[in-house]
Amino acid sequence: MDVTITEYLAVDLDSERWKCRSCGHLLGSARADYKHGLLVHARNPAEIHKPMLDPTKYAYTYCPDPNWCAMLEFYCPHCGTMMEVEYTVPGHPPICDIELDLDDLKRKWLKWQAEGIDLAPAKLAKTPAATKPAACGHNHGQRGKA
Amino acid sequence: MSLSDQTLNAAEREKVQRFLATNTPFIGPDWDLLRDHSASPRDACEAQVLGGAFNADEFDDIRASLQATLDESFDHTQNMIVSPAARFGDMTLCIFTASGDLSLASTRGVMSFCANAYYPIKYVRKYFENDPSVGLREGDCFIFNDPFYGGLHSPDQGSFLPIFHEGQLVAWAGIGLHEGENGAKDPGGMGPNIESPWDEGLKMPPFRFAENYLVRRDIMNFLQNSCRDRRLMGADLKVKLAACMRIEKRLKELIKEHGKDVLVGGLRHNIETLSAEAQRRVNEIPEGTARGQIFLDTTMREDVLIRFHCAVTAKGGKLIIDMRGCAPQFANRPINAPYSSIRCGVLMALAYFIWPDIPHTPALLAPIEIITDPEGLVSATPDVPTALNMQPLFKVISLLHAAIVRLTFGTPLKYANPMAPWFNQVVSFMYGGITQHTEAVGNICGDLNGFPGGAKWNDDGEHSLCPSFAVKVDIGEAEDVEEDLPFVYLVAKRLLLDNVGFGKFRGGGGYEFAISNRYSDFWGFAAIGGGSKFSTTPGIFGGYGCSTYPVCRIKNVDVFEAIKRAPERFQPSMIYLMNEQPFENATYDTHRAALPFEMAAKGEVYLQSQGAGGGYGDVLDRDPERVMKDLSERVVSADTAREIFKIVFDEATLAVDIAGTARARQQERSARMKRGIPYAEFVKQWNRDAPPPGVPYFGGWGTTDFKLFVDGKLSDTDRPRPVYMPDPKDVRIAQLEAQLEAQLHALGQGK
Ligand SMILES: [Zn+2]
Repeated sequence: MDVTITEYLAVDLDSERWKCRSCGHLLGSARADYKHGLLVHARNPAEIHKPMLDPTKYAYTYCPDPNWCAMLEFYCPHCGTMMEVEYTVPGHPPICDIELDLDDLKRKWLKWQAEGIDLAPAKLAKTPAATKPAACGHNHGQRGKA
Repeated sequence: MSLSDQTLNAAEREKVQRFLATNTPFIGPDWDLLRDHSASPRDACEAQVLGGAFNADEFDDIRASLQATLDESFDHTQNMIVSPAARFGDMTLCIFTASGDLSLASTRGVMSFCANAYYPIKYVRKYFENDPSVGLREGDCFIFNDPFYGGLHSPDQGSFLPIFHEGQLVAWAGIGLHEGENGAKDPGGMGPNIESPWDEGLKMPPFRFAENYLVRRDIMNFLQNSCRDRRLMGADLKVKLAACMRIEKRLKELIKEHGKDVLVGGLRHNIETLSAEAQRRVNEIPEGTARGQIFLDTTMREDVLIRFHCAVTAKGGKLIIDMRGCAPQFANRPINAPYSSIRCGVLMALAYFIWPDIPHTPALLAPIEIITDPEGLVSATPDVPTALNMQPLFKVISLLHAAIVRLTFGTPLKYANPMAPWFNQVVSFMYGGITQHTEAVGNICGDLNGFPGGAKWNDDGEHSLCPSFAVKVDIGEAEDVEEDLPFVYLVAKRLLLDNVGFGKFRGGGGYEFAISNRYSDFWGFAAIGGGSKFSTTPGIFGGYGCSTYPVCRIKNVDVFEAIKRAPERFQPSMIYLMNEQPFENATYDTHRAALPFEMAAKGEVYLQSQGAGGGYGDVLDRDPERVMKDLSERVVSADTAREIFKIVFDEATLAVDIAGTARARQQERSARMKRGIPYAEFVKQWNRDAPPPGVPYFGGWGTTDFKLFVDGKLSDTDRPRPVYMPDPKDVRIAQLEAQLEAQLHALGQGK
């Protein structure tokens, strides 16, 4: 069973592996950092955030300082989809931004399936009607308002 | 007391105890109260009502009436208040239980102003209510602004008023807002020049300023004499009292209708049901940890690199927000944030971006635990200035927002559109001086509220919509500003080209603006932003972040005279004015986005641009027609369409070559796979044990196991003292002296 995690990542609960949602390729153990299964490129920030002010005239130009700010682009090795961009300091180890508890994930998905909840990706939940649980467990004189 | 216990008899012991209890030389902040955001236990009346049979629908009616009361009072107050920020909506009205827990707040405004207000109320109850020199009576009204007594930062002021029924305290009414001018070192109550808590102007722990529903003239006189803007201070004391009295009046009407007990139960019920709902929602988050870091590139006086790191863990029904590994405090820079300010950021992220569908009150924090280093930039002590603690606070909003999106994106139980972080910098000018109406003023422009929105999972972000710290406030009208104040907008609310977070869905764009003093002989500006060297707002899931934003200045010119002489030389564009330099003999420069207060002569020009919301998803997945629409609306340039989004199109007709675009995008994907390096190989060459040489880095270095660096050097302790920065002018003088010495030495005239 595939469980959606981000725009581009799913976890195949059976094999416990990360999966690219763009091309379907398996990427690496879902008990480890998904970035371990990706390609990385340190992009020159000026290629994306071009200087708007003349760099020969000014110290600050709307372009990040490449000695301070690096951009790490993470690509799927099978289809080249850019799954994440990390703004970091040159030399700083990449951050593990998602660490799943797979066992809890399995428990929750089985529970939601059993409850008949629509598990389509990124489907918004409606605010549940039960936003006013009576703290004492009572709910006397219910007038049945909408 | 052990000595006394042995040597004193019971009567003497009692006397000593009484003496000590009534002769505390200094009370000071109550750290337990400050840190503890949980609701007080039910009081007797609440326990009696909620422990028995009650009608939840009646509570619902009461809540609706209270909400209407708060929103109605908000509108009234917004029309009476003098504070410019509050007129733009930077204000909150709220109602508390007798114990001091916030029950409900106005839907509009900025909830941070009241998020910590439980603390000064509980403080008054704990220390003053039974003190015969203070006491608590009907018609009292209190004021506070000190960040270590429930304020957010010193320019904000809050007031609260006890509500009695037949002699029994039943509730509190409260209001909080950004007043601005408070007698700080520079006009407007905050600014880069603030170097100590004593530079921050008035610091008010809660005290009574009104009795019998009347503002005390002696106290008003004292407060007016303590700041530059006497009209604002005087008038707004009365407006704050009036706002609280209006809430009191309505509450008493509700008591008449429902009875005191039901009302008291209803106030408490709001808190308990919201806490339970927040708990239920946290229970549904899959367990795990999401992490992020954001870097701030300024102390407000010098360029430094400051790390904010946040690990958010859902586990066992708790959401644990771990902020350890951030930078130490700065002893003489105003960007330190007390713990209570960080908690506000947490509440804002939850209420505005994660659970916008339920009432925004601190009850949502029930399942939240916040961990910080004992002392640090996000857990500041009263020895350091905190006037610009929005800098850490706004980063916390982005970090927590992104972390929860990562933890919940794929789950069916979400209550808001998953999106990239909202812009998170303070872009606006502060001003001070004497107006054309001969009034002394000091405050901030409403442009502050023009943050662009993050891109959503299914749509683009909004352009300059509202700040990350409030969803229903305004940027104000240039015409209103120009009527009150002596400067004019030469460029107003014009979207800056290519200033969006690129992605499958792009973040919202920010507008540029330029202002110039036209009418005052005594006027100045300041700015309080960061992010001029390092992008502070990231994208998400492959989207890019915002650019970096300086302040631009054109000095030694009277632009109004220059326009009169040669109107064709002016264009309402920062890029044109700065790159073309059309005014002869003027000086043009850029400055980090924090600009200490300086005088601005008539006709000198100050320019800035709002930032950009983070982008969502891969740029190559963006619908080409959306790119063409952005191009036609001047949101992105043709170069960006071609080079970043890889669209092949006809520039004259904006017709997309669909097959050509698909080919160009496939080429780019192949190019990525060629230039990308497998992770294991990449980190071998990339990872370093320390920040780059020459970068003044402050904070933890590393992902889960941090090493703390202070000014780029490894710290020998994990609890470093507050960092004392040298005066940038002294640093500059030393550099120039060294240069001079070297030149003299070369001439054989050195020491
Ligand atoms: Zn793929």
